[in-house]
Amino acid sequence: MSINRRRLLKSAIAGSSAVALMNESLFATEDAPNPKSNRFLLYIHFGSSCGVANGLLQPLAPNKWPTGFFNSGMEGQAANPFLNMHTQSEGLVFHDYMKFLAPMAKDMCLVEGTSQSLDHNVARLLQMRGSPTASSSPEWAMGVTEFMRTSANLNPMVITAGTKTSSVADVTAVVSPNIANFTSITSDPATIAAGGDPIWNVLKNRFKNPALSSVIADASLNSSATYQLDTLKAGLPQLAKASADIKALTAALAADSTAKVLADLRDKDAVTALNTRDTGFRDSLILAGILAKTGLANGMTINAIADDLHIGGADVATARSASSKWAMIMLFWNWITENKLNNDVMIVIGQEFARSPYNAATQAFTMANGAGQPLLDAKGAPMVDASGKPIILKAPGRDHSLCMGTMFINSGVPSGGRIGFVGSNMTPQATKDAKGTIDATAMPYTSDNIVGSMLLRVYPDLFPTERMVRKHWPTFKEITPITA
Amino acid sequence: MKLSLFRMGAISLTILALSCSSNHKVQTITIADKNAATGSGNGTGEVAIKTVKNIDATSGDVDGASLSLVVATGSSMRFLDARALGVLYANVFKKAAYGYQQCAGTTPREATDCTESIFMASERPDLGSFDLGTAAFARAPQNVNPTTSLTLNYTRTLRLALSRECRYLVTNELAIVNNKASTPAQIAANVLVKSQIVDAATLIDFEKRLLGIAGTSIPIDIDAASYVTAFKTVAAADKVNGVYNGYVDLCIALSMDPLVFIY
Repeated sequence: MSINRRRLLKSAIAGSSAVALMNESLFATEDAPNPKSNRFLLYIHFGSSCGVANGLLQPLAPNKWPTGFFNSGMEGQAANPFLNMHTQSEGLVFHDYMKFLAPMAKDMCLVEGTSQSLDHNVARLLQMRGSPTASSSPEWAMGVTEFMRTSANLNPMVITAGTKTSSVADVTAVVSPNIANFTSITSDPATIAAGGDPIWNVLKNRFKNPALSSVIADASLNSSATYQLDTLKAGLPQLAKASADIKALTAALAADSTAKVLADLRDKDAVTALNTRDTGFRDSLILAGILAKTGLANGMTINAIADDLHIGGADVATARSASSKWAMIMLFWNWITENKLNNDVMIVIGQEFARSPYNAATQAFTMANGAGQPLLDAKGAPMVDASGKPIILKAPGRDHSLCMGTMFINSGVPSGGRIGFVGSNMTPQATKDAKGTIDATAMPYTSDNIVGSMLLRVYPDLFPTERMVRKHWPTFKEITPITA
Repeated sequence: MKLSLFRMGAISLTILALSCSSNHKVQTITIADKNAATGSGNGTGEVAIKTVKNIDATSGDVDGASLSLVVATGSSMRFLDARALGVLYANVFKKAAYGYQQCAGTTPREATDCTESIFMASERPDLGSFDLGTAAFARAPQNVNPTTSLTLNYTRTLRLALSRECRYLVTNELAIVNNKASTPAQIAANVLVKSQIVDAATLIDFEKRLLGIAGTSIPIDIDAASYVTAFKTVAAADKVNGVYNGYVDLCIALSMDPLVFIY
């Protein structure tokens, strides 16, 4: 990146005074967000699912898993052989369940770091909003959406069930899983009686200075209430005009489309069967795409996977589930690119934490295709037991691990980048570059610094300085390999 | 309210509500125990809270160890959840034989779904209420989102439920007003519709009843005069349904005034 204002800030007095100035809406001219186009951040949460299986922890080279990934302190391979079959594309190393992602690696960057907590509820907040509490920092999508606020759009919309925080007071939060629900939520003209505008105008004015006795009202309360009441009355006409796009994106993500993507997988029948039933995630992606293209919203958070498989099965169940999701994400990204939104839309896929080496529990899976025939191994040989039947794979359980991965998809990310690395015995480490070169002198990366740095790089119009990242995530420090 | 503070000398714990900006007022609450040297006045060692209006520096607190809470503008704005709203709305909305209007023409899974709240069970999460043990509750209390955000779902769901109740209320009360056999006492018993036209005092009475302060001298400002003017405009625009329409929207608007649901 060229010399910019935030680098100057680092060495100037302004840098040391930034913390004091950032607290309220006091933007210096150089700091003010100036949206160039409809930015949209889509955060997809992979829960506490296994990082090895879901693709958020990757080796640096094919077939070279770090020590201790499967059995503590020991060299080893995954119990599921398909996780040991890799396809490399740029810096990314995909196992067999994800190999269809290789063509889009140029738009992907994987950053690995520390989860900072082994507790679901703490790690979830850390990875979804960069803070261990729900009240101090907003979700990533909320932060981007707040800075999309313009004089023409005082209350930009974000789709999430997350709690707002004080730095995103202006955004309009909507909870909605799909287009039909979103259409319903944003319109209810029949609820009120006809001709009541004069009365509703009085109510809108009541939000200007409500004279609440017990609390200081948000400065944005009036515009928020007015925007919402107006929206509910008129609905969103942009949605009606988007019917062609909805139809096209629905077709692009349809089950028969994903079946083609999954056709080359060794375990394709099981993944395809899962994908066919997975309408919820598909519908949420369609909503996200339409909102991004119409500019109706500027962010969305989707909870895609929850897996907490202490009792076994991560190697197979999580790999299949994640594969189904990744196939839809790939098709979604293709649609985004075809619609020339690949610089505006950034997909962030994160998780609470990855999972520990194997524990003693196991869950059994018959490694057969839909017809009951044995699956084929890396050499193309049938995976059968001594009696010639498909093998029963006992997939071990995994506990919580203090590491995690975050995948970014956008045309502006470090292309095919590998930043941060989870190495031997699942130890997160910093890197000197975007190729995974270990930097033993630096601390492992944390979510606020990871996502904040990527926002600086990808959305410089919204986050022209570090100070603007700290507006939402006060502890932010830049990760140079991401912004370089 | 009492606090147990044993074996302490003259105690003065001061909680200051301060702000970074200079335009915030300073509030001081002092907990003082003048009898601490020999235990408290009632012999239990407990200390009564007393409010002292002075700031820390002049209130006799010399330990210099005040607890400061920094409050940012707007950071404390919260919204009542479905359960709390239900308590308020019970002040003005009457239940039918089957309960609230969410159950008109339907058979509820649980009878209490109809009688406890004007909100359907499926609507309550939009207003921040969760039932323990459900999937929505997820793993732990930390996952429950308090209603700290004015989401579109909140506004829409609130208005939808109020619409059901207000249409029922206005239909019934307007029928009483329009019935020539109705006595003045019957009409006076209405909570909102007292005649074909509305006046500011009626609207303020409705709001005070809703807020649970009916009959008190506590003043509230809901811009009632503007509502009266607006009602006249709406009523005049439709000679058949204008009065009904005006009262329905008045009922909904007053019931979702910021005084009702923001705290």
